[in-house]
Amino acid sequence: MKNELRVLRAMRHITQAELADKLGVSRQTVNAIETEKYDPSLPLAFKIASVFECRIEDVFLAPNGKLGSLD
Amino acid sequence: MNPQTQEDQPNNKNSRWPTSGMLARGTFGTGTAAEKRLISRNRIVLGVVLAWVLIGRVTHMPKPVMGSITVFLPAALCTYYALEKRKYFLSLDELTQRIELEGMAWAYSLGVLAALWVGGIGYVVSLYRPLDAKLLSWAPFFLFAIVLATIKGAYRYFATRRY
Repeated sequence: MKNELRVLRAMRHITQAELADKLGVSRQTVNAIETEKYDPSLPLAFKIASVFECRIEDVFLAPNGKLGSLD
Repeated sequence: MNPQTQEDQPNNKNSRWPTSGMLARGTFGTGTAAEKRLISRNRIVLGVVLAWVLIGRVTHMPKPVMGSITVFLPAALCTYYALEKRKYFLSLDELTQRIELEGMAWAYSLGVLAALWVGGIGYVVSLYRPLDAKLLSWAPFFLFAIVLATIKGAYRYFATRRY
């Protein structure tokens, strides 16, 4: 799933390891999400949104880039 | 501001899992407290096994005593290690838990398949060569596969009751 994790992280000058610490996951998991190799669970997605103080849809984009549609 | 490490570079797609630790210790090599605990318990288990091998060679215990300990000690240690491994598993994050579960699923699927083949071939060949005890000793593999499949089926049944 496309996401803005790397951009959000860069804007806040947070390393993958620091973000991983905040989320309680491994750095490799953060990397896997950033590189779109792994889609996080809903609780983890909410946690990520909470760390960046934004909505979940500001971090993760639907496959076609639109909200509310998976076509 | 923190200095950017190599894995933080925008174009880097490498997750850099520590391969050597993973292959040598059977963990993900992420250096967590739970992982260090599992590694230390692993060493304790290996230490006890080695100590028993040495004790067995040096002392002259009665054969039944020796045999009983040789059978039950590894079983007890494996049980202890399995409990420690469970604690480690529960400490993993969702991606590493998923990888671990996928690994178990593959191990189960291929293990059952291999056990069925080995057990089946051993049994059939032993019918033609009844005096070859080695071949007949393969037959329990077949039973092992059935036991595993039964456990999995039972788990599926009870797990679906929860949802």
